[in-house]
Amino acid sequence: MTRYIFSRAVQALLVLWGAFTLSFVLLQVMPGDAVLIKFQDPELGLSPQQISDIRASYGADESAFVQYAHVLGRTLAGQLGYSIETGVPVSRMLHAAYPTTLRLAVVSFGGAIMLAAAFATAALLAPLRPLRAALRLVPGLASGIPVFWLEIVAIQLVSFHWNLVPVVGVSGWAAVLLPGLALAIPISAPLTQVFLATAERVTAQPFIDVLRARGASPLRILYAHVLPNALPPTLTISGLVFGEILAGAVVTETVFGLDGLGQLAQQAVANQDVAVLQAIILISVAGFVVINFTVDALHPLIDPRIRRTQAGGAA
Amino acid sequence: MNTASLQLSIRDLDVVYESRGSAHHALKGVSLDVRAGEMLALVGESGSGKSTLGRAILGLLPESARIRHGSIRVGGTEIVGLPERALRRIRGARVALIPQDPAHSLDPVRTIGAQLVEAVHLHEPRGNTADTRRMLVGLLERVGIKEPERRLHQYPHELSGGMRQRVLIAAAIAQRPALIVADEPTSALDVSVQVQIMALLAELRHELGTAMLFITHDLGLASEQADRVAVLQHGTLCETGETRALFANPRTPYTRRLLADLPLFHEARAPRRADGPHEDAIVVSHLTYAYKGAGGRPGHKAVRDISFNVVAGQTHGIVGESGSGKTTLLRCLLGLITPDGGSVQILGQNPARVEGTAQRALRRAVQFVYQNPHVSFDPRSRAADILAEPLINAGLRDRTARAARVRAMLERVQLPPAVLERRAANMSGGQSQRLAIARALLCDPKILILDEVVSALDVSVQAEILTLLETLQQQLNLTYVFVSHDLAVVRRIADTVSIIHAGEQVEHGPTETVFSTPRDDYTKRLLAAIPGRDLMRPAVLA
Repeated sequence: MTRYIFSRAVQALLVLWGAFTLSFVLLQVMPGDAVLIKFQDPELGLSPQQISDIRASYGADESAFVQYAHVLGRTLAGQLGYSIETGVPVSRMLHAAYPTTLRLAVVSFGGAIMLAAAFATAALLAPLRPLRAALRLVPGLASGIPVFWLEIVAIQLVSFHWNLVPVVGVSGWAAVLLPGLALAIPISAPLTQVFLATAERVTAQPFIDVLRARGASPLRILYAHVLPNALPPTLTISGLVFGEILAGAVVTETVFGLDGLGQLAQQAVANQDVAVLQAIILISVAGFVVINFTVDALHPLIDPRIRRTQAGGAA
Repeated sequence: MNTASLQLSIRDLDVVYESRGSAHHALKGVSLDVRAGEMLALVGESGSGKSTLGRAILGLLPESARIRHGSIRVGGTEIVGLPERALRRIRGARVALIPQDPAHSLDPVRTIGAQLVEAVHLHEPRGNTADTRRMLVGLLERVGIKEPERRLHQYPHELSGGMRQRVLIAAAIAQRPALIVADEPTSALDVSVQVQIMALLAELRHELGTAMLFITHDLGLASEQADRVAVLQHGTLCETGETRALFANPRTPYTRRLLADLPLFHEARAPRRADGPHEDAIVVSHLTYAYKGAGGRPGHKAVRDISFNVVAGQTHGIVGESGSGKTTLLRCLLGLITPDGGSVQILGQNPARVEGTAQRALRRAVQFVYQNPHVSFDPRSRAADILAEPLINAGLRDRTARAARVRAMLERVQLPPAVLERRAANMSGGQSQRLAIARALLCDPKILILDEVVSALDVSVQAEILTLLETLQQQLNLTYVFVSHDLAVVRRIADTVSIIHAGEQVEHGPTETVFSTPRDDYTKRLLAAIPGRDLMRPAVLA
């Protein structure tokens, strides 16, 4: 088991390094850079000579390789650098922005799981076959709804029209309630689809018939037997949809005017604020890797058959 | 008849499956009774409606099924028309199920203990888990499970098939039901385990006075175990009677045909001596193969020191239970793995050593037919494509020539030309097995390796396929290696036989000799375990 965790940790570091490098290359091949964007403004009245001096002071005129070595060395030393746009240390910007995004992720992920559970139960246990078939189509449709449209509609109806949840002048958990639940809808769709497909295969197995023949109720069979058997693929997907939450955070925070990592990322892209952007990419990738590692580690707890092979493999 | 002891009473039961306008009449006015302590065997071929009847008794018919009329009384309670909630109190408590496939009938992610406790507490909601577990230890001991405390903590995959079936039996008898529906409870088990399970069921029946409906396709087993037998054909009960009387004097032509098709009723194959000089198509000598253990250390020896030869144009039977090494032996014959010791000669060549053109020629000359053709065919491909494939691979580009060969082959395996347009998924078991044989024969093989090819088929279809194989062998001078767990089938078709047990060849020789004068204890045990051996032609088995 220790060997397994060690090899997974090495893999995680490789993924982080790869993401860091790829993002650096992509930002390099984009025309221009942050210094040009900020100081080329004609209103500032800087001469080309002055601009190139400023560029030299930021190290922006160095070769790509030298810049890469410099940035990588700095990051490995734990220094995230300074925002070119504002001059504020990147670490301070992240510190201010992450709580909002974390709350948004928790609400949307938790909401997605509850939504998926409720919906899957209905789709599996609804009384009539045509009704079950119809319910089964809904997740596919839900995953096709654009997030931004859904959120604008949510603001209009839930907040402005019905006055249920305020979205202006709120902070903390209250601020992420509506955006989190709106984001939960498209996130829950793939979870529901995968769970329903697996649950259908599990339900076709003979042991389900045996349980029915013992007098177990459909609800009991679903929660005590179908659920644990159908969970592993859903768990894997739930690790992957975490990426969608991060992507969704960019749109959601912009629509709702939340100052989280998503909005920070959006501004950093607009300004080509390389240091900020790379820090956000690193944090997102690290979160993604940790979540998926946790998901993999949970599998043997659910399925005893995997437990045995892994114990054998580590011996 | 004492009606008080009637635990199951079915009157004029009519069940229809309806889907999209089409209706299938599964049970047509069936009536039968089972008394306390009695076993009624319900025999019938696939599609006869025997499983539908079992499900109807448990109140577990699928949504598409409709009971048109009739009554099912379990221990005096009418099941038909009972609401689901009331049915749930009866299921598991008054009527229990022993399922067909112990490998997939327990929840794989929960412990044996958790599942048994659940089975008890479904009907004793106020039960105390510690008390229930103590009761379960005694119950597991009763069904012949050693170290019951340890088993309660284990998961299903840690138990053998026979042990899983014992656990399922324990769950079924936990509430002392009046009636047990046993749906092919041993068809997925080895014959020697089957004997033990059937003996346990007989003991429990007498001890607890439970009525038992034993659903089976195996007439031999029914003749040995049941007090009475009911024969079901196309949803109609065509004959019911006391077992001995029914087998001695079947009244309907259908029952007579079912009995005649039993491989038990055929003479053992008369020894065929090759006239004059004969050649061996297959020579296996001192074959040994071990799977590699962890870290490259020599692991479990799957087969040890196996030797036999097969004369061209004859059939060699290989008999063994699961885990005996049959599959490893076949993989060596096909050249898929290289033996660690000994040698294999197929048509004078070593299948693991030939390369290039010679290898391709040998692969065409040795064809393999698998147990379950439904799995080895792409379910969406048409029969025409399945049959064209070996011809295309052989380089026959001319469409009309291909069609002509396919038509000729269909005639040989007695399939109607209409089959060509069907998809593999829509064929019956017998049809797809004929198709598999046809595909193998289109390669012009000298040798067919037949792996449990009739095990999944009904007796009447089984008899047809065996006859077809015999005819083809004579016409085309084919050599067969026939692997089966069914001794009665092997006895009918094989000239010589090897009995494999735990990787060792415990007995080998002409079929007649092995069956009439077995020397090894294991062979004797296997022969004694053949269900319905009393029905066998007396001249053959002493």
